[in-house]
Amino acid sequence: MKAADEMKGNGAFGPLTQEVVSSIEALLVVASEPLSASEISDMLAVDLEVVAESISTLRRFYDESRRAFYLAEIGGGYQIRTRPEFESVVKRYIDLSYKERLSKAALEVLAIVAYRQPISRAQITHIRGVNSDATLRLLVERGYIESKERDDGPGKALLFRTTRLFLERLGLYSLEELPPLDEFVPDARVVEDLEEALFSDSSS
Amino acid sequence: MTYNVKINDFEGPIDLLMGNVTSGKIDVNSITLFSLVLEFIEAIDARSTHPLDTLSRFISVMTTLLRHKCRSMLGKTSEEDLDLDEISSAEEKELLLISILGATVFKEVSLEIQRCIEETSTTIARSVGPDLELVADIADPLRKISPKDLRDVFERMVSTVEQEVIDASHITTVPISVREVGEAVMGKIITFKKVTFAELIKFSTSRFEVVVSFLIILEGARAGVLILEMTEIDDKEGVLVSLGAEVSEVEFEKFAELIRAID
Repeated sequence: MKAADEMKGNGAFGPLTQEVVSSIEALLVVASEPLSASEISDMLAVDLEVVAESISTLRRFYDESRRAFYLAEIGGGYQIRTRPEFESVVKRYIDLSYKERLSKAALEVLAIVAYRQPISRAQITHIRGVNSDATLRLLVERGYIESKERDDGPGKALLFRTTRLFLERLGLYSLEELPPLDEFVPDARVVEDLEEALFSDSSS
Repeated sequence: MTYNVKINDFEGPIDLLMGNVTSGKIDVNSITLFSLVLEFIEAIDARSTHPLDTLSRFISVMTTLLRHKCRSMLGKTSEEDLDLDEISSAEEKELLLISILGATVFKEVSLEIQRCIEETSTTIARSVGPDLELVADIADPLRKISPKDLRDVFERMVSTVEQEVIDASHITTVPISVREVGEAVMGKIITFKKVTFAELIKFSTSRFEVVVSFLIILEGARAGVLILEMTEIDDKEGVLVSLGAEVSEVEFEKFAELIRAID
């Protein structure tokens, strides 16, 4: 059955689902941040399963009716976003030039925090081999990472974690969607070459 | 600062001791390292300040002497190669290799993160209110304010206690303008024709005003301009003040002038 029919109440879920679907759509239209399934469930007083079904119906409806926007699963919730193919049109209206790009150093620190969180400043510096204090401050200011907890060990170091904004910027629903780290490990030949270079250096 | 040691037949700087051991002039096995350490501890305990260079130099020399002694005790024919230099170097290189590989991995990951960010930026979220970047730049005025702080401020606002003001009326004479009080009294009598004394002094701010008002109506009654009579209002006795029935405007104005003249 088409999503449009389900929206009209002709679907298997009946008029209640149609009302829920429309209510969810209303919430998503006014939400400035992604809304999680549990938030929607609480606001509409319906089960999570009903929310999931309704979201699915809504998403299919947008796809089938070829709307210029889609329902994205992002930042631990759902958000209405324009489709990538309309990027050039939308950017004629919205000036996105102010959106700052992250430097290589910032991206590296972000990568380390994303995969090793919670992680201290010293641990990040150790992995990178260079002081990363300024980069960390920048990422905190821009809302990609935050430090809300401290290490139990000596010194009670601040521990950094990625934020919801980080997920939103990367288009991820959760950290579990990050690609596995082993995909980025250099292959054996690169490691061997590096090893050879290091040890030949010492022998010479 | 050089630290001097005295051990066996040797007496002099610790660096010289190490030089003699290295060159084979002194047998390292004849030196009790433990006693050297004890002497050093006693020496630094006796001082009020502990120069960092002396401390670090001593530790460095003792480490080297210990290594020499270990090698000497194991003997040159020992199958075990105790080349600490080589072991340390190999370990360091292993660590360096691991460190470089770790950094390489995260460099690769950072490229993937950049790709994800660029890909996501091709779609625009439906936005309501200020953009998130803008919101992030706006300092949150409630950032360090807890709900308890807010409640305390609210309670202070709603439970404002009026401050008791102590004026100087009980120790100094409060100047009263007889003219102003007189005009107020006369104005009320002309407006209402008949008015109780309580009404006349309703807005008086001090006892002096009440007294002045009373003296004015007494004077008015004596001059025949005003009529005073006792009356009962709300089960209470009071004085009713009224304009004399046969008093002309000219006569009343003369009386008013008299009051003004007092001022």
